[in-house]
Amino acid sequence: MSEAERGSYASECLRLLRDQLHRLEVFSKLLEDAPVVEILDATLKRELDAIIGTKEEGLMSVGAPLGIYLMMGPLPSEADEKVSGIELARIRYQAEVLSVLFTGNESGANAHIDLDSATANLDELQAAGERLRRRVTELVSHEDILLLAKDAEKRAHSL
Amino acid sequence: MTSVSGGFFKGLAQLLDTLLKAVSQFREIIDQKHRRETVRDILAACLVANEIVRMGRLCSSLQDRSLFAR
Repeated sequence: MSEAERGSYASECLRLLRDQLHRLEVFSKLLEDAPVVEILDATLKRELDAIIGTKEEGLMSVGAPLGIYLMMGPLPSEADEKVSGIELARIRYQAEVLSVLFTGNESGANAHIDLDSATANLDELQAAGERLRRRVTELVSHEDILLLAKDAEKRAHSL
Repeated sequence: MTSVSGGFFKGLAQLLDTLLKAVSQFREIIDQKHRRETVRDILAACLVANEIVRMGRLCSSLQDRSLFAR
């Protein structure tokens, strides 16, 4: 990759991370306020809490380093800077943040991105979303679902 | 580090599956307004999850294995 390409590549990575963090915040707000959470039984509530978690554990623990990264910018290690130069070291650091997002592993300098596993996880997320969407659309009339789908779009983009 | 196995996106998938189980309790919502709001919010969450998938795939496509090899 040429020097000019590396600059725009780094900007694109940053933009994607920022957009992704925003979506995660929207997702979290939707679930915090969702009336469905009120009717969860105790077991499901515990299951949900364990997944979302705190800053130390669960999904929140993955979102937190991403937030810090976007606030502070790329902070590669001095050792990597000496070996590879600041620019490449920063890009590698960005890749490590992506790795946390993709795999949940926070393994620092040894982080690597397992694209096959990330793709499988994305497929799983897409399938889970589709299962849920299909199930809720069975619960209301066809006329209602068209109106609610429009409202849902507005709600998702208003947060 | 986390109780979510297999990474962030998998964690989100587990979360949506938990909501799917919750939908079986949906009959408990008798109030129509409440019921519609619940469906709307779940649909909105699905929509955002889809966008997260789309962005995740874009991130994947940006990876250059040779660049990150040490």
